[in-house]
Amino acid sequence: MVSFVRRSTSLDDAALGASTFTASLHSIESCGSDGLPLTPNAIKILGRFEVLRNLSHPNLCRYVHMERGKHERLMCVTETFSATLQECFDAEIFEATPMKVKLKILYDIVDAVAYLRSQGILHRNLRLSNIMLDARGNVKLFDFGLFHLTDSGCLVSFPIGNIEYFAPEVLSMSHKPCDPSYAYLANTACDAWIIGMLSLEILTGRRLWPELSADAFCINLFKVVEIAWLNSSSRMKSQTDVLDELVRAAGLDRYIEEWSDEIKSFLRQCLVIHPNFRAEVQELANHAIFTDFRRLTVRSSAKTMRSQGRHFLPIHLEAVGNADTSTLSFWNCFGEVGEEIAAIWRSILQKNASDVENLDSNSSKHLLQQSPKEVFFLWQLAGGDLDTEFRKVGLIRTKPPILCLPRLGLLEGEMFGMERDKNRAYNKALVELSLDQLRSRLQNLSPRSYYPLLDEIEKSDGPFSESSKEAVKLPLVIREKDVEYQLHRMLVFKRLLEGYPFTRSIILKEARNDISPFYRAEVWASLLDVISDVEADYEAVDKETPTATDRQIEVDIPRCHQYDELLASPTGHQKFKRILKAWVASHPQYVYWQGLDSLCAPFLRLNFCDEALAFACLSKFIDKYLAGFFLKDNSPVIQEYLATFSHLIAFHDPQLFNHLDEIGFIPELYAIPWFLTMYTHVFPLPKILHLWDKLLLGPPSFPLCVGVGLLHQLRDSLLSFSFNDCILLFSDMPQIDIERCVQDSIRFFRSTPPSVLHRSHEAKISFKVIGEHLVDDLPDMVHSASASDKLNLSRELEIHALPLASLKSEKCPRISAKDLLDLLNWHMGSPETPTSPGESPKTKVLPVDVRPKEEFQKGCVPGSVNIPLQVVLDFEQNVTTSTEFDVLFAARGKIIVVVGNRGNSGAVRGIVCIMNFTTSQLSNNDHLARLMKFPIRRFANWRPSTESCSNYLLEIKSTVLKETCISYLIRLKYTVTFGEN
Amino acid sequence: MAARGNTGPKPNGSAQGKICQFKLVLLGESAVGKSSLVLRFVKGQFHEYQESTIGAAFMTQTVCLDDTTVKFEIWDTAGQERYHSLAPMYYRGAQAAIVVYDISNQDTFGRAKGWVKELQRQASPTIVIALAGNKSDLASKRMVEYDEAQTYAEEHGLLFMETSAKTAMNVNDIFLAIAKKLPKSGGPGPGGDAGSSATGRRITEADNQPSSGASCCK
Ligand SMILES: Nc1nc2c(ncn2[C@@H]2O[C@H](COP(=O)(O)OP(=O)(O)OP(=O)(O)O)[C@@H](O)[C@H]2O)c(=O)[nH]1
Ligand SMILES: [Mg+2]
Repeated sequence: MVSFVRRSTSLDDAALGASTFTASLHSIESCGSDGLPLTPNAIKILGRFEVLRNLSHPNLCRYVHMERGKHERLMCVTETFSATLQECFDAEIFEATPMKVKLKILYDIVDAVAYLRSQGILHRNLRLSNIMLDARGNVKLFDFGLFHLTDSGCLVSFPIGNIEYFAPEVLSMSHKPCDPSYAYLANTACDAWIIGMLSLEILTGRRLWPELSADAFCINLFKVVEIAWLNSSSRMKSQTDVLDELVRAAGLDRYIEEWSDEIKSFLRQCLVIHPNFRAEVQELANHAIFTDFRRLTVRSSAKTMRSQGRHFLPIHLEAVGNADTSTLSFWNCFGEVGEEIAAIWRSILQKNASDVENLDSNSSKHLLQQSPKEVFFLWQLAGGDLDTEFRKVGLIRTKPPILCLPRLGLLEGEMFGMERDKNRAYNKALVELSLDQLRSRLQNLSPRSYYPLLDEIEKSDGPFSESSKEAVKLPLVIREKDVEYQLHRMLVFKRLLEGYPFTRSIILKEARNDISPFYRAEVWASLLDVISDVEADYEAVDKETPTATDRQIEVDIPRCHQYDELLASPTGHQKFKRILKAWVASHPQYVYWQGLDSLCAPFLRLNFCDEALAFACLSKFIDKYLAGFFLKDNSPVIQEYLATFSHLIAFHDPQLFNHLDEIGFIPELYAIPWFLTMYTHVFPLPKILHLWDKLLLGPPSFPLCVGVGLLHQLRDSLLSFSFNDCILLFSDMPQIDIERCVQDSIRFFRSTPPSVLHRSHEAKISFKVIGEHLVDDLPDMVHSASASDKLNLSRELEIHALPLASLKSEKCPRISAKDLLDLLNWHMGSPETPTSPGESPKTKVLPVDVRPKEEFQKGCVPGSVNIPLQVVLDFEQNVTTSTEFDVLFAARGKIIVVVGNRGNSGAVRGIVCIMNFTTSQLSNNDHLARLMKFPIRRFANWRPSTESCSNYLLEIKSTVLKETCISYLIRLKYTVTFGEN
Repeated sequence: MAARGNTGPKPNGSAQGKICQFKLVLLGESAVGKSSLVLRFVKGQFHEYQESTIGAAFMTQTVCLDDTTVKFEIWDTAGQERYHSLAPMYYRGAQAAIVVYDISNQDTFGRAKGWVKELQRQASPTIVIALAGNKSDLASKRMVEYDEAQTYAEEHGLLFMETSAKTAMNVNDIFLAIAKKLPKSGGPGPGGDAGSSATGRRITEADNQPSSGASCCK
């Protein structure tokens, strides 16, 4: 018994197998009641698949992946094992096999079916060839989801299941599989009957009437049913079972005589004629015959752990669920006397074991320790393609379209004489996906790479190959295609997520490089600090009661990211609605605004099987980035946000700002959907994922910088466009290079003084951790938290919120005194040894003091120039150049900070305009001479009223220091640095 | 943006004559098909999964009427009631409006009446209003009778048509009917210079002054 827990989640001795089938087609031109095309059946199936992917039971072949091909084809990947019960049956070894072994096999089957039932899934497709066995003799049910996937067979045109096992009521109505009235009851009871028929075969090693056709079989069965029914006493009619009649009719009486009463009672419970009185599968699993095999309570306790207060643990306790904890192993069941027959079993079950041994080259062994989903993810990266695999073995054939044409078509649209496409017929064949190519791509990896340690990750010196370390520098799109690198990232994030929440800070750090697409859902949740008992929280919310918002939600969902197959599926729509309703219900202070649907889409898409987590992420996300946006009256919040955005544009790109301002292209007209949906209404999902990978690392103000990044990328067009062109550009967002946009945004964010982004409605959450990860590795960064921390200055150095009206009327942002200090690179840790007096600090900033000369001389910010208000006014009146402004000419490219007294705000604004106006002419070296002429002309036209001031705005970065701060700055004890003139 | 306005009705080539520019706004309950109508008119397309509109969207399209080229600047607004307060920003200064309802949903007709009332009270007095009963392809699910809407339209002096963005029925027609009804020569200023003509005014900053009462997302 070697470490089961480790092996349990891994692919181990299983292989990846792929199968394919086609969904039935809707007739051409058929429309739903809304006049719109029906959802293709293949998409419905895809939506239903996701629940299967999440099942976990030791006796189920795990579902790994499903995708949709051309012509409604579905391609499905599951775990497979080399032996099926059919092979064992055909080897005629059942008769000689000890009863205990057979009961063990039966128990595994029944327990798995009972588990499926508990998850709301009917099997209906049990047959010997669908029951696999691993090398250790554990049953692994295969293809158990087909009936569920196809919505009880409604979505495909082929029958599902082995007709010989079908219960009488199913046989009598099977021509109408989708009739909802009758089907439900019959279906749930059918699995028990199937188990009974299957058990008979397993226990006897014989088929009932092997020589009969399906029709004749059914006739025989109905005869048996009739006799049994007539023979039973009227008092017990409803409990009548067919066991005795069946074995008699099939000539199997001699077997049944040897069986214990318990076994017979088990079979009787299965084979009750009346579906209502047949045993539930769960009862069967608890039957006394299985006492020896019943698993220790480990699995069920793992389940209750999850349902009763699962705190968000990104990596579930799948391991426990899978561990083989039954009291008796398969081989032990044979006992002493069964040695001989056990050897035959072994030869069948382990026929491929030798292959595995041979393959024991280093890397493949470790590869197989990964879960099937991970292995398949890598297989695809290594160039694997399902369509190609099926074509190789002829399961998909391309038929020239000309050969598919009907012979005759009526004008009404009816077609005749189409040859039945054999391609569409159901073929159970299974294709094993070869891992050779993947292995060869990974052969250079050392075994150690598969087991990174936490502290190695933390120190970024994990046992990874050089090529992975090199890969970090490559563009994201290339990294995401690199098998070796993705394996490396997968291992790192898996390791980290196992340690969440304690590893959160390392996750943040790693996420700065990139996020493993495989673990994106979990990583996002940890970035959003989801930590509560998400399932209980979600359970507790009322998602069902109709509300006034329902209509809007219902019309929005079918319009939201519907190119995505999962979101377009009916399952997706149901989940969508529940999550949105849950959010609205659990946030009484907020309401549903159109756009919330788009915002929810990425979370639902990533957590398609985990609504609770999707809901938790959505809630956390809105709390952090969109505080107040969903208030009934969100106007003040959005207005402030847009005004801040406008200031940010002016700060980073004055030229663009001037242009947009001039043509009246204001953010209100284009940016509301950007921010309200955090760009989810603007970009398709793949782009959103990459954008949000970084956005989630930033503070609540970061999305503003993304907006500037977007404008920046379209800058050239915008600058040359008129109002109409600009607005058209954003009505239909052009191609955006998201990676570049993200890089630009981060650059803008890093060079923005925090107070420029200040908003009074910003979420009041501590982002001490958050601030650091976009910023901390930047020596030139203006956000030098440490300096200000040590300072512990008066709160007055902080920025104060402005009333919305003034915020909107001002064109360039204000900054806090604290940020000015940071911009000036004053390291306040040692205020006693400041920059030596007279030596102007080498900074990117030029403070311009607009106070009267006398005040300036009493004390001022070092390096600042004094251009008193009076000079500004004179300048406005005189067309002659003032020497006072020469210093501004020299300061081009710097951030100009206007420093003034309280109450000077109008004047302060005026000077900003003038300075920027004059300085702008020098902002472009190449065209210096030309520009030198240009300003004069413009200047001559300029009217020095306050209003027109604002029309000639800044073509260099400029910022106004919150005027109340200056007095504090000067009153502070830093006289050594101040006023040395 | 290459595809913009390259289908649908086109100028007939004779560059003679006046060019008029009009601002047109679409109003109506969510999901009645406003965006779909615009898309059909401007690009000749229909998307069954047309995204919902947040805030507003903008498109332009040109039609030819005799010797006049009419350029529509179309503002397609968000239908959700909550976005109502944004609407004045778009209908202020508009020369034409299409109020849309869904013939298979009685409530949307009620909402359309509300819009008509608001436009007649608050928009420009000369505004041309058209009522569009959209989704006329869903005749089997009809909840609003043609006659009922027709009567209402007559009483209130509206243009009226039942349209279908899906089948394109009456889509160009309703825009053309509006173009016909709009004053093309009477307006002050030369018709040739669209940008400055009094009839074709874009949204300018003045429309968005806080004092003017336009508030966002209220
Ligand atoms: N059958 C039919 N469906 C239509 C028609 N026009 C629009 N639709 C569908 O109705 C739904 C809503 O259309 P939209 O154009 O998005 O509606 P809207 O009025 O712009 O909605 P908001 O943007 O939310 O205000 C979409 O799924 C369209 O495909 C039509 O003429 N016939
Ligand atoms: Mg719309």
